Amino acid sequence: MRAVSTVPSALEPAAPQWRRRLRAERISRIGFAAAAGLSLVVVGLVILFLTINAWPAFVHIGLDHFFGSTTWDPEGANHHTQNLQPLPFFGSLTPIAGSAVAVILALVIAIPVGLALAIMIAETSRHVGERVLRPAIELFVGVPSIVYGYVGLVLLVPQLERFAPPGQSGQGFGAAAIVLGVMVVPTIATLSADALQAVPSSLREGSIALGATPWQTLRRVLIPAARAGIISGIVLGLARAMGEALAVALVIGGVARLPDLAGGLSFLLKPGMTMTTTITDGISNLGANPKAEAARYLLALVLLVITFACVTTVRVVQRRSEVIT
Amino acid sequence: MSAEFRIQVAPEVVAAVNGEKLPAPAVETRGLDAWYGDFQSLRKVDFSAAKGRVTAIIGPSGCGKSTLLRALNRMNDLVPGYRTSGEMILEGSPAPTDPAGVIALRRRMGMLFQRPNPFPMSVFDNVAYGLRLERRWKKHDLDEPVERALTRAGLWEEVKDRLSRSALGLSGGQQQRLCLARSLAVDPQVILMDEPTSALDPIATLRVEELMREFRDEVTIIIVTHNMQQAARVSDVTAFMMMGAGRAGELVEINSTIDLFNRPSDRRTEDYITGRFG
Amino acid sequence: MNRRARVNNALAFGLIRAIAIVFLLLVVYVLLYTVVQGWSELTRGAFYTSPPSTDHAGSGAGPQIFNTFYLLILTVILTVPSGLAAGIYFAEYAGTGRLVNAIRRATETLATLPSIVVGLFGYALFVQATGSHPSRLAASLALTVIALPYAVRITEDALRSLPTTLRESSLALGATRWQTITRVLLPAALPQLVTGVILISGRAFGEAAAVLFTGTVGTPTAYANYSLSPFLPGDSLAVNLYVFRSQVEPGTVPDAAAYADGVAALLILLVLVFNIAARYAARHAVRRLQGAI
Repeated sequence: MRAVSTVPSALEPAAPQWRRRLRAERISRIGFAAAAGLSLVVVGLVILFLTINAWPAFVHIGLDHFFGSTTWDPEGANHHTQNLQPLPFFGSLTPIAGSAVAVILALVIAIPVGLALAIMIAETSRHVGERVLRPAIELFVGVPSIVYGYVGLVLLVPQLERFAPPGQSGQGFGAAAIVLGVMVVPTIATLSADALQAVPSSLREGSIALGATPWQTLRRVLIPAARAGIISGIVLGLARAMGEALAVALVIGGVARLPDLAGGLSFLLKPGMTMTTTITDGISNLGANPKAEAARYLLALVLLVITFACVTTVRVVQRRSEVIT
Repeated sequence: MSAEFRIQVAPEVVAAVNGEKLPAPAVETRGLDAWYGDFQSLRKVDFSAAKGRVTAIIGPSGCGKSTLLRALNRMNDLVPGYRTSGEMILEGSPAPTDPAGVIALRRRMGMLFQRPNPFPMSVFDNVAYGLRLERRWKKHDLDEPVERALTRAGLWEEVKDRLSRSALGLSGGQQQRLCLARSLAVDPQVILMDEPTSALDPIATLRVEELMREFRDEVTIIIVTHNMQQAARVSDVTAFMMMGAGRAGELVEINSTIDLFNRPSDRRTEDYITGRFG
Repeated sequence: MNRRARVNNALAFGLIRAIAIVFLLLVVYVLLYTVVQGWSELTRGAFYTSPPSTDHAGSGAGPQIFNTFYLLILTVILTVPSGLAAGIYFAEYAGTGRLVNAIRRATETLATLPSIVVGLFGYALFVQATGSHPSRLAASLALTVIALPYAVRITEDALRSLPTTLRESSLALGATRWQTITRVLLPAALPQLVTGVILISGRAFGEAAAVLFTGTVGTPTAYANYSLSPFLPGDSLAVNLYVFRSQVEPGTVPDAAAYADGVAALLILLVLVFNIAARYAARHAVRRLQGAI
């Protein structure tokens, strides 16, 4: 019989090297937690600095004017007091309406295309989907958004100009919507494809076994089952379209005018502005017009609130779907 | 109850039962309870594993076998919502619960998992991993302990020419023995095995089982297995677990393997080993 | 009924396929068009070496190329340690408490925040509040705000995708969590982490709005130097593409349009390089870990 190993049964007490290892353990844990907390600190700083800088807008412009007027003329170039002093207007309804119209149109384009691509990736040939489509879409995500704007300007706008009324360049809501739509397609496509692929194959096979066609299976089983992921993709796509600035600035024309929805589809070829392009415009004279600058910070705050809303929506949608499944 | 064996038992186990007394326990639990959140996974488990012997834990799936095993080296502490109460005794004294003590405890207990899981590094670095955790080593000072551990795991001849190459290039059976060598390198008193051969082919399984028998008297082995033949082949003592009320795992019976399989004292054990359920 | 279902099926999938193919062709056409359009600029040596000019044609984007990579490297240096540490926290330590929840939400919010808002915030904090002027450092900090949440998510996903038993084997040998993370988990996750860093770099170098507010002053001709100081202002290729296509008055820069074509083509080619590099790095690292090399 071999000897039973003679290891001391009492576990050794904390030696100096033990203390060192445990200290490293504690310190590293605190360090990791601090790094994670950095995000919270940054968000806090964003809220703080945007609010501080937007403060003059609360005081000197007033929320009733800011959210109540459709006239955006921060320099007072087109409006005068009775003694011919420039009279600035800071009505944010024009940029807000512009953003809303551009984003909704972009989603009208991007949702069908994104879903079609997602279905191609997830439900038709796996080989083509994972080997060709997904890498291609990842490549499109990587293309800087400003390049999309540039292409919209040199390729799309001249085409649109041919349909535009005389004197119009072709820049406008139509061009902005197409550029934004193309940019947002990959977001919707990848998240929806992930969601479709996450549906258990037993559901798919169960439906097919009942004699349903692939399309019926998709429409009645898979898309409802993947709803949370698809909605998340659309909401995040919306956030991305809402937040894109420079690409839109290149193609929307940058004129402070409400989208003229009453005049049929002609507004597509007329220039306008969005929240982001209005902020972008401020770059050329930072520090020159404090009130206008404060108004732009207030617009940035509005964008921040919309971002919060989008993130929260995604959270709620995802949590609901977890509860159900 | 018939006297003939229902299941073939290893010869040294037969010898052991015929007169040899079991050594004192290396590990014991008394009234061990465990919860995952609100779900009680173990209820009042009194388990013990004799020093230098092989103890098997069998039972239907979901009966808490793995939870018990992982409670022994406090691996479950990492699971959010997990808590435990009851006594745990190592070689006669209470097991430590402070952070340093838990690390020391884990070091004394090797662990082998269902799937072989060598670290993505060289064969040598895998085996040296445990030794390097405590202090810095000169590279050639490690040669001897690494070779010894690999030899004990029956792997030295197969890997001595490829020590510096990635461990992920080994076959599944070799990888599992490498994991064994990795544990052996730090000289554990106990090795916990969680269905260690379920991912291996029959020949690789046999190699691992042979090794377990070679470690008799040197190392205490506790093995969770769903394979009753395996429990009979390798273990001196077998514990049978089952889900009790509220699906909490309970230890039904623990006895020498030969007695448990041939003269089960509990009706439920008999039902299980005769295949009436589970 | 059955027949109609089959017809519907064929129609629906035909339509889906058509939409997808048309979109893909469109995007490929756009990318090719851009590269072809800018090709004459890309094949001109001076494009890479001379600075932009406002008074003669034939200028280049030399300082902008230098600056783009400068910002990229500085951003990666600032992002990787904090992103890695935060990702480790979420994957290895974080529970489900309220604070952790708030931090997760903050990270998601940062990932979704419009870059123009980050730019304005960066201007307010890094430029205005510090009493300095736009600089490469300020631009890199703004880019870090944008890149950080991606770094966190990539790290967390990479660590979560590792088998749990890898973690447990290390702990079972008496390793502390710190030792487990540094000696086993991070090396095992390296392929994904390298790929992630490359993809983040791709994001950072294409970002224009944040840099516009934090890094640039005046016209692109102001940056004709290759100094290494982080306190100098600096624009990038992406910013240039915007500036030359929107703010430069027609006539002041003779070849503004051609220059923009070149920059756009260069950006697309760089995106391709980054994507291929990321794929190659991932594959190479995987092979090395599996012992084939």
